[in-house]
Amino acid sequence: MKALALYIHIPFCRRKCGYCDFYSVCSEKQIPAYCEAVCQSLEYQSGTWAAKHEIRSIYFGGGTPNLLSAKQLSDILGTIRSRFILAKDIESTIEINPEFSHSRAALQELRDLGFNRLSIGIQSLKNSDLRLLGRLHSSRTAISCLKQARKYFDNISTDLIYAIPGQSLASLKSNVNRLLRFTPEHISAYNLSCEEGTPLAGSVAAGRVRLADEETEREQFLFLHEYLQHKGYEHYEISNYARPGFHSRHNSAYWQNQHYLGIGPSAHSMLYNTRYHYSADLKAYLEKPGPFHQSEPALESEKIITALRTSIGLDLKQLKAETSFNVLEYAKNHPDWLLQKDSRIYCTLEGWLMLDSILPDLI
Amino acid sequence: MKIPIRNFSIIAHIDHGKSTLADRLLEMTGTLSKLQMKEQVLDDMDLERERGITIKSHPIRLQYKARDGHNYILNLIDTPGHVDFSYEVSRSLAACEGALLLVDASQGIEAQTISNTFLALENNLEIIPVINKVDLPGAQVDAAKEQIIDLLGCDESDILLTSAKTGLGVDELLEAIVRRIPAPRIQDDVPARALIFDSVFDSYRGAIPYVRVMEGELRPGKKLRSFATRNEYEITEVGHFHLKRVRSDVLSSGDVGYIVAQIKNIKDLRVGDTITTVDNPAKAPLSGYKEMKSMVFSGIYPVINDDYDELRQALEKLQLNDAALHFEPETSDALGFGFRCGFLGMLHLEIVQERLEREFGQSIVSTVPNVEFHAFLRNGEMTRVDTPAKMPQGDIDRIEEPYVRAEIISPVEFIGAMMKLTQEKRGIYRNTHYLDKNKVQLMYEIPLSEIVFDFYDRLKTVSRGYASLDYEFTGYRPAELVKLDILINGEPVDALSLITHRDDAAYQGRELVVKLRSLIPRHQFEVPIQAAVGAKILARENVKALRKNVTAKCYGGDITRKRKLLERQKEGKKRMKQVGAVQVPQEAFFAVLQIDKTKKN
Repeated sequence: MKALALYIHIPFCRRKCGYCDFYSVCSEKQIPAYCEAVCQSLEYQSGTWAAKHEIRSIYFGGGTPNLLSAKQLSDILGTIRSRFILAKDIESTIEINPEFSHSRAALQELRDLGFNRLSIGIQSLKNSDLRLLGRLHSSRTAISCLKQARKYFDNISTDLIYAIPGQSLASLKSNVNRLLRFTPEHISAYNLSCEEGTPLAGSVAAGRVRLADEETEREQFLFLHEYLQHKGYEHYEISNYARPGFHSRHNSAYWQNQHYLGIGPSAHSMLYNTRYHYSADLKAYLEKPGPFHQSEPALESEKIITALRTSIGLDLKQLKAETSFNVLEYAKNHPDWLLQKDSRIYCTLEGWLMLDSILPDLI
Repeated sequence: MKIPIRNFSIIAHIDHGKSTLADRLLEMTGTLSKLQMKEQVLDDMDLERERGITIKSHPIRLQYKARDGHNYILNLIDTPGHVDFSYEVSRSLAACEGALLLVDASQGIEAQTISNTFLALENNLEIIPVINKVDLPGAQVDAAKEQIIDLLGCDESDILLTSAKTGLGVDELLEAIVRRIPAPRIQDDVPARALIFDSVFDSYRGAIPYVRVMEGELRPGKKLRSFATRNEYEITEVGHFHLKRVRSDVLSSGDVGYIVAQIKNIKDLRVGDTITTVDNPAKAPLSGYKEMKSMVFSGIYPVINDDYDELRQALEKLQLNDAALHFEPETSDALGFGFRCGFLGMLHLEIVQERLEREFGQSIVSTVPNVEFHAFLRNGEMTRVDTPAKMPQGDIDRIEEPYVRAEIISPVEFIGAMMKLTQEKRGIYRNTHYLDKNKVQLMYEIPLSEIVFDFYDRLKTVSRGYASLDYEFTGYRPAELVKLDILINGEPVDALSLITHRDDAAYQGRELVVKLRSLIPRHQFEVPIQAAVGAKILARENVKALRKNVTAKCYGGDITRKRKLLERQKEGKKRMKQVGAVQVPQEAFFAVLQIDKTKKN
């Protein structure tokens, strides 16, 4: 049995956040048709990939997956269960936005559907930050969501954004402390990035918003690193922290070059060293939800790019002899950035901070 | 009996219709059928056809049946029309008895045309003035006539009117060539003397000199000897120029033809050299041979260091048919191994760069062109400085720079603009001469270094294209020159140094460091960029340290996108040069060129 990670993209949002460049649309009336299309995709893909594969993680991401009703989610999950072989200890995650699932009932429902891990888009617990990011929830809603979630889930991940324009270290620290009261098993802490074409990029270009400077970003990154470790979290990927035993199994599949199957427009798959994707186009997807496009072979360099983001680093044995030699050589010449332990190369903290300067020399 | 010969060239400014006239002569003499005609049939290189300029002269033999009923051989020796190549022009003229002075009816006489006309007169050529493009609406035939009469002192009736484009007047021109240009002197039974006026390289047959036989004969089987190099070669083939080279038994006095003699390198028999035969050698060479001297120098480096050998081979091949190109290995701390190249002028430099890239597929970086300065030490020793790197340290008594006598011909209304421009360029006014009531000839002495950069472009700009320029090297003069160094991260970068006038140094240094700050990527440490003359820092900018550079999110589909982004960066890095601990992109080395322009504007 080969392990397979299954991703379901839910490309709907009530409103697009100003910083987000994931594919989503704001036409919720297409959700019913979409759910059917996803089921069709799953049926189609199961023909090829269901046999001899065991799904070890399911991840509903978006977009906003909890814009779907329990019935809709259940239909999709039902299709998955009927078509694929699922591991007994499967990790089954759904991303939620607090504003749609902060009631006790809503969270109970999600658990009852079979999800055993929540990824909550908290981002910040300060209302001015949330407004600036264009989030629809308030700090209160977020807290209430966390409270209720804690009752039904023993594996919760929360998303945090740092280096928000105007955010001070003290403010970040207060965010973190309030969050830690709920002892989430996992924290994804992302440096706010300004992606081309987003409203945020427009505001920055127009001078309405000033991004945090590099020193602030660095300071906040280092603060999170030290503080969360101190609080018992492992910093296991550049932007991810987890209590021991709670690393995201699904995301680790991406970083460790394992097979993953992505369903829905803009979703990518990597299966047996080949990449596939569905176009980021809802209309096209609804018309033809079956086969995806083959993109290109996965390259060795991608292993390097993803593995060095993780704390366990890159296994040189997985590389061609020549590549492995070059990486090792580079590591020896850059001890501030890369360390070697047995057959593995991994980044120092400084190396993580500078990874994008390192990678062009390694690929 | 030998068929009578007429040897002639065409003197014309760029765009005045020389190549078109040549095409028409070919067609109207029946040398080429309409089918064989393409435009500018004598211009071989793509570059020539694209730019509409002739770089390399390419002779052709026309057969013409004149109205007197006799057949004539007309040898047309086409000439380059740019000031960089005036030596080649002078040798081509020396091979002829006559020249057509071709003047565009709407443009009138230009500076280059005048100096070439003087060259022709010095060589005792019969000059047939021709006003071309008389059919165009802007034609000012009378004004052009006035200028020609002023220049040559000829009669108005001597001037022919043509339109090379339509063929108007070309039949009269052919008759004039036969009647007015003297036949070459025929003297076959004396020791041979032939003038090399051009040379091409053939990969199978070696260098092929193009010659005008002045006296005697050259035949296959004979051994030839060069007066300049004393080299000897056995002649394996001689022939004439039809559209292609056509073999014949002999080249005798008056003939224009080519010689194949297994000459390995074009440098072994140079343009201007005289050939004689070993068994019956002439006593003295024909006059006028000069070594071609490089006026402008620039370092040419491969973008990727590993391509050094390939670049050397390309330069060697290029030199096979461009004897004016000089190069020698040079090392730069910043750019690695490359070549210091010498050129006749800026056009020549551009042509070489373009041919290296286009014909030889080389990716090159070239350093700022400069002229050769003379640095005199206090002990009287002189150093030739053809690259800023050769500037001696300390103890300099004075530096001298080359000056030229520049002759500008311009419509009268632009005199003010010309004066302003030449003043900016440190020109010294000499005199003015009115060619007619609308056109004026201005003489200046100007440092060559000012001419070689953008003088010509600026001249054209401020005169809306009407002014023309010719110049001639006159000698060296002391000047207040300094070497402006650029230090990146405290280390001087040789490839960014330039020699400049003391008054300009501070400004240029300031501009340069600002420009470089925007071009040099951020490193993990702060990178200071300084401009200095000697130990004195004139300007400083810092490239801020890069303290954090990492992508926040990297999942599924992002990986391919991320990889491509990183691959582009990797490619970019490959094209950077490592200067100490700092990566410097190629563009930085061009920055110097860019600021030179901004100063002037």
